[in-house]
Amino acid sequence: MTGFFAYLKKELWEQLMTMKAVIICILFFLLGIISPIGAKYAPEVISRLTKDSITIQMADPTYLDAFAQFFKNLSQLGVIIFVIVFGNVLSQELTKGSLIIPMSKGLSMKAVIHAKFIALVFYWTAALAVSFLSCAIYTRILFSEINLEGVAILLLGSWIFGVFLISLIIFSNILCRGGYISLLLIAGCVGVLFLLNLLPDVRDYLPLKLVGVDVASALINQDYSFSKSGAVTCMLIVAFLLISHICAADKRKFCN
Amino acid sequence: MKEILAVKNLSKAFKKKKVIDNLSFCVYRNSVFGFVGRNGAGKTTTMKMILDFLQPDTGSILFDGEDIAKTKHNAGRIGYLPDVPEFYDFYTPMQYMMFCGEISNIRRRECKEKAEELLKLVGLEKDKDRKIRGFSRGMKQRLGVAQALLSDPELIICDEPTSALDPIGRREILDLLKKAKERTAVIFSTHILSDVQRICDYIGIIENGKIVRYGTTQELTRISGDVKVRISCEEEEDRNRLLEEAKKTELCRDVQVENNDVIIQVENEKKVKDLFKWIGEKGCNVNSIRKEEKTLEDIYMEVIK
Ligand SMILES: Nc1ncnc2c1ncn2[C@@H]1O[C@H](COP(=O)(O)OP(=O)(O)OP(=O)(O)O)[C@@H](O)[C@H]1O
Ligand SMILES: [Mg+2]
Repeated sequence: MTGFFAYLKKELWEQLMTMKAVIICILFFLLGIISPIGAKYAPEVISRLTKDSITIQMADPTYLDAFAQFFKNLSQLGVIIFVIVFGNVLSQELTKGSLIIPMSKGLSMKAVIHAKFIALVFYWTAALAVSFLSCAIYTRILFSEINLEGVAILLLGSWIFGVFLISLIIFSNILCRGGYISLLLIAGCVGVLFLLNLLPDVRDYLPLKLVGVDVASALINQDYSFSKSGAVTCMLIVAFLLISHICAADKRKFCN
Repeated sequence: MKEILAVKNLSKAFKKKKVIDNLSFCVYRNSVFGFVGRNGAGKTTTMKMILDFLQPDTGSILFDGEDIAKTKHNAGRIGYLPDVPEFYDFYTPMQYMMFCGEISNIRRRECKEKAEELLKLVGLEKDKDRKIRGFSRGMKQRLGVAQALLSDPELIICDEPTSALDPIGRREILDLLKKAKERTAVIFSTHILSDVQRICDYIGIIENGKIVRYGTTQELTRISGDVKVRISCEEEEDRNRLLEEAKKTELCRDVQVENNDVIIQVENEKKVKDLFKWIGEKGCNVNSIRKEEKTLEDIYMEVIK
């Protein structure tokens, strides 16, 4: 693992300097404040639009709606943004050839993989923290009532789902060794997950379950469990990293 | 002189296409080895095998007496400048050098001093705190040389280091490589034969994956074969007489006129003396008589034909 720390430092620094990390944080901040705003004003807008024809009875929105909206946005928009921005972190370097000089100095491909994974997890955590904080603060402002009980575990679920996607990014980048095919591979894998999600028997075991709970009832009744899907997801993360690790053992494949 | 690198019977094929074919040569410590050959001859491929970036099909490469396939710790001992060096745009040259130093496990303070010295040496002193993003190819090439020398390697491999440089820059980099041989051995590939002649101690000409000529620069340019003597006469009359006479003697194997000079070709070095005598006897008005040195280009053309 020669050069791991040097490369990790470079990687963290690179995402900052190329603005990717900054862009992610800004977008996630917006995503955080949009959710409570949407929850608060959407019913009003809808009822105003449909005023003449039908009257719909709707309960006043609460902080629960804001959180539900937040987790929904996070699992759809947030994840897509993250994958688009960071989906080719490694393949980009492989196609460009910027790893050749460091590798001639002894940098190992394993060190590269580990550093990329850790840097991405770091930025995912930061993005999640930013967006949740902005969401919580806005929710507090718009709805005077707010209760954070039980939210932590939902956040953890989203976090693990993100880490799962990061390991998938690394895995596909290593496997496709550059080019946009790796993005297609990621899309393909997610597509397979959605297909599997149609089967009721396996649904509980899928990573999608981590971001697919009914937030409002989860927060009130605590009637959900992440144990099965969480365990499966963790196993998948380990498997993806392990395969990437094995592929990376022969550095010759990556320096031509 | 002791050899630092010995390449023995190397072969490599890409999908049945034989690219390197039973190639052997060696590089001595503190010397410059010039690697010439046409596009696609296999120079870059050979270099990548020396760096262990490619696995040879057969043959072995000994670095400092040990097979590189079996030793894992050569990284800091061989410096590499790729043909198109790619850096990280957001770094400055100084930061990039520090990054390289950290990978090579050089202590920070030492690395900083060394980097400053090298950046000055390659002429990037003024740009050392500018982002690499705006650099021209030549500037990147210079940074590439600096980076290759950072860890005090025993061998540096430069793939066409002068290809993107302006005339002055080219001279500077060549002088730099020449200077570098005080501390390290150098392999460099190029298409510019005058560069090779200027700085190389040893030359290998590669064609279709085989070394077709190998030796010191003197050896190669001295090699056997015909010698040309250039005689310049001002008077056309004298010139024509010399031409006619030359055609008659057995001494001359070939004769031609170029501008105001008559060029007579004799069989070998020993015949040159006789030719000089023969010219003297003819009593023409001669401005100068000069034995023509063979340039590397002549040799190259002969070999490649
Ligand atoms: N990865 C590869 N796969 C298939 N063929 C390759 C590969 N790398 C090189 N070759 C082939 O090997 C031959 C030698 O290539 P190489 O790059 O070593 O030439 P070179 O002497 O460096 O040429 P140049 O002077 O243009 O740099 C070429 O015919 C090239 O097509
Ligand atoms: Mg080449």
